[in-house]
Amino acid sequence: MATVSAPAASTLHPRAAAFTVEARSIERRFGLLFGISGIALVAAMGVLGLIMRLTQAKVISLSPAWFYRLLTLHGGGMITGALLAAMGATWYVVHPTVPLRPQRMLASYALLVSGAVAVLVATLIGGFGAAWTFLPPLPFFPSGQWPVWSEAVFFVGMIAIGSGFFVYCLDVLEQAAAAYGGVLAALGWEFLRGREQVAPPPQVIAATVVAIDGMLAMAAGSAITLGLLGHTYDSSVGFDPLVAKNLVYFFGHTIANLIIYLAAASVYVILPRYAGRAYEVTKVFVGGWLAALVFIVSVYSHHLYLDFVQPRWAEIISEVSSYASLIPVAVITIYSMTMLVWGSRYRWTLASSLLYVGLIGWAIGGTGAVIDSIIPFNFRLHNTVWVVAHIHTYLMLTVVVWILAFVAHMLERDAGRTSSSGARIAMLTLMLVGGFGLTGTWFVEGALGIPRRYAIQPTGTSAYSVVGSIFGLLFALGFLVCLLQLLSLARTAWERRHYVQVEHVESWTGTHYKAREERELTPEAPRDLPNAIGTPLSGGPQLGFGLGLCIVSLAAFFPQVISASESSIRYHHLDHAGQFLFGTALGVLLGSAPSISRRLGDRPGLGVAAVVVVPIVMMLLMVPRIYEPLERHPLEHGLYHAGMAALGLLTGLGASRLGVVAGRLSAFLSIGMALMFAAAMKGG
Amino acid sequence: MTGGQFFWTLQPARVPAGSRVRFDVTSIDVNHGFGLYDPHGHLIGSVQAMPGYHNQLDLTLDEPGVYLIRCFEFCGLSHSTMMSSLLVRRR
Repeated sequence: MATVSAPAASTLHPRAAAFTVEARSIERRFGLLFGISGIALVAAMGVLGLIMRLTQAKVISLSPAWFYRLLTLHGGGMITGALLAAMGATWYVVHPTVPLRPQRMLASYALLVSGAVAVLVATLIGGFGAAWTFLPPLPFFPSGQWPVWSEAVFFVGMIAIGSGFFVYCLDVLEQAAAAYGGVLAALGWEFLRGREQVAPPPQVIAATVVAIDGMLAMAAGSAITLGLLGHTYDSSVGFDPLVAKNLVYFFGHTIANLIIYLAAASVYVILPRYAGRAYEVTKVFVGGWLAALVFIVSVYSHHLYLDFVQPRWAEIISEVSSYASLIPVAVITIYSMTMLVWGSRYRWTLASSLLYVGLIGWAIGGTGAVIDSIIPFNFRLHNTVWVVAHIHTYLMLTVVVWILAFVAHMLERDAGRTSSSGARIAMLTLMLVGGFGLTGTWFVEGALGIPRRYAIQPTGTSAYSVVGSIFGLLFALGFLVCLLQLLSLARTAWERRHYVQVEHVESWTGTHYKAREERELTPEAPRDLPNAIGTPLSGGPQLGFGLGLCIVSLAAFFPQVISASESSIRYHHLDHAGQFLFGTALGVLLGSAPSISRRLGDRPGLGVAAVVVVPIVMMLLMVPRIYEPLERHPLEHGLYHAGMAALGLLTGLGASRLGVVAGRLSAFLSIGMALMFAAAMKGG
Repeated sequence: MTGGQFFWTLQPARVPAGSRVRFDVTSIDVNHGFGLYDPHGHLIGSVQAMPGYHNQLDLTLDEPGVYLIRCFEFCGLSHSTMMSSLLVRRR
């Protein structure tokens, strides 16, 4: 009997074979784990969104207490779900070039999922309903709706989510710098300056930008969230509302914004496969992403336009950034992608159709965002449902559509087919009509001045909610049709992966028949990981700088300084931050000294654990109820201050194991977190 | 103009038409948002009410009638029903 294997089918453009790197098993597994988990979370949160819209339409009855619980869970869960899937998509396309560490990805996953579970417990069981933006001091004014423990669980959840993303960003930064010979090279700076002829791939440049900005945002988020967590244990901890507001929006706006940039990194790789044209990195592309590196973190301040006490320069920076951030978004991504598709005989599959739809969502959502960030418009649109329209156009019609496209791409590759054109057309019609109908209704309501986050809509406006709910249901139906197509593709992919189609020919009758036989899966060889390059400080001048910083920060231990810092909680905590700075600088200095560095060896895992966990412990210890009893005794007081320095030392030693870029940035951010934490405090 | 969960106190509650009114807005508890609608229901301006800070908003109110005030920053359970009004009298 003779057997013949069936030929492999492809859904990609025939020319794509020239530049498409076949995904390895580990990339597919992580991609599917993060993608499916993210989509499941997004789907569940979408149902909550629909329930809230139907409540506003008075179709169903939900108490305001439950409305705000669901609102809080919807926001936190949706951000986490979209982030998970976008992280998976980027890992899938970056890993073939930059060998990211699977262990860190799993650690990120565990932190993000446990954070989402904590938010779920805090809201549905604890009744916490201060919105996912938890603008202080609202979490501590529950109007009898939630207990203190639910506040603490919610903040722990947010810290876990932030830490999970921080670990991911740290790994991307460290490995990209190691793979390309430094962070500037990974960002394409050397190519821009003409020192290198070949630029890094687009997904690496985008992922490195996201990693740097993500670490900055997570540091600010951790500082304020840890302060709020401290308040649940010691209510004497007070906050400066303006500083707290800046930190919350720096964290919240940036993380929501970064998700789309993260998802875009995967689109640079996947969309060209259907167009049959490789995405070429140009100097304009690199310049745009370098500009985005700055603008992503500087635009958040437009959330504070109507806080007139905010410094004028911050508003000017935000206004300029909001305009300028359009350049990398519109020109580079949307224009170049549509030009890539134009005249390419684009292969219209489930994945590629969704990728294209996402570009439309980004263009419209971006325009809505820019209008809102223009100060005269913001005066009339701030905190109206216009904001809801813009964020949903971004997330629902771009990010969610792209993460569906990402999972569809993986399944299509494995299944060797796409879904039926009828199902695709039905899905796209439902999603486009439903999605833009829903956001369009919000845009109209926003222009009319209807405020957002209202459990009970203003009199005479519930008709908009009815219309919006109908469009929302259409979108949900389209989403469901998409999920059914993905399930069908998954089934085919499973069959193809585990069984091989063979054609049998009976030797004595000559009869042909098809059958399937179990496929032998061969394990793939693990890839060697590059070690982090160097230490944060190297050479005489840099080590001298570290030594100088240690000497200067010793001032935090002077009795006169400690005594003067007793005048307020803010100064007192600044002094603790100074002691932590001393320890961190000393740790980095010692860890960077060649002889000590050799003895410490390569311990990147311990390094990451140290820079994430130890600063959290340090800030949790900066709660007056913990340290005040110690300060009544000179010895214990001294030991407490020495403890701050010791925690800094551990952080610094950990940072020294992460190479030049990730080591310097994580050490800088751990000190920055302590300073931001102190600056947000008030009282005395 | 002071916001609190879930009320507004304003002093004075009546102003003559055509007045240039300075709203000195603050809060006694959490962040609120002061949003003012003209008698036709059009939003004519808003500003944040933040505890410990005073944001000042200048508006000229030409048209006589009842101006509705709504909360524009999520402030808790009764955020959507936190309302007040300002009466602008004919001169």
